[in-house]
Amino acid sequence: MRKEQDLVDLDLRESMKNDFHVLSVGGEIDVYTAPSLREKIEEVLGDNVTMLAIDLENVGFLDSTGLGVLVGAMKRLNERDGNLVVICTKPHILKVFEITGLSKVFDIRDDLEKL
Amino acid sequence: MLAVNGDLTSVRLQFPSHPRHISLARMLAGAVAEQGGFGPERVADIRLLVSEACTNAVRAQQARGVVSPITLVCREDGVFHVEIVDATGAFFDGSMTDVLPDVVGGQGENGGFGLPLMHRIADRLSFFENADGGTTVTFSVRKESSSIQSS
Repeated sequence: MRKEQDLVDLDLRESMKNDFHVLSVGGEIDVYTAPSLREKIEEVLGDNVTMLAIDLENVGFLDSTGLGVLVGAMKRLNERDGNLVVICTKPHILKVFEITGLSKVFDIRDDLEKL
Repeated sequence: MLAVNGDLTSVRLQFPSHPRHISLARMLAGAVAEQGGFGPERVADIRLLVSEACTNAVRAQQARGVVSPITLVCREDGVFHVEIVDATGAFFDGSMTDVLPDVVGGQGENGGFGLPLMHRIADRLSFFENADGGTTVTFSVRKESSSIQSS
């Protein structure tokens, strides 16, 4: 039985892969958890980072609020001629990107190892 | 407050108007859909629709200082029916639009994807202004996914 805590908390982990700062996200991204993701991205980008990969492979749910956070990250990186890569293979998450047209805007890749 | 019928074909949940509780609403709707034999893709659609509708309801109430609970009713009879009731008329004041944000033009960071997503995923979606000034959002989802055009 899942506890309520499991439903609302995001797991946010930083690592490096080649030239990319990697932010691996686990959990469900919605209006309650999105602010912590936005805050973490701002923290990671604070040090003039220009290469960011956001790994959504352990995300079970993403709604429009989460999309807004990712759009904000892309905007920050575009302002500094940076590069944002989204790692995602889950069909129901990819569907959200496709329906909103964001699959044509984001650089979405299927494997963190290919960075 | 939660009311569930014996065979889990319908549930009624009233929850406090706070973002923290939206995960419970979508988990409950997903459970009813799974019990009704909906496949993983449609269950994911239902969870997304419930989350978007509840998010709009909670945000609208918070913006207007309304603390009334949000009501979610799910019913499954081969088609999945959802009704979400809040105490504001946010859907009728022109603040929400079906048009996707122009991301390349700098929009989208502060939202705007929710209602377009709902329109594109639900098989039927309607908004009703209640007598007390609130909003009832209803939508239905068939077991088979209709072809959705990407934007």
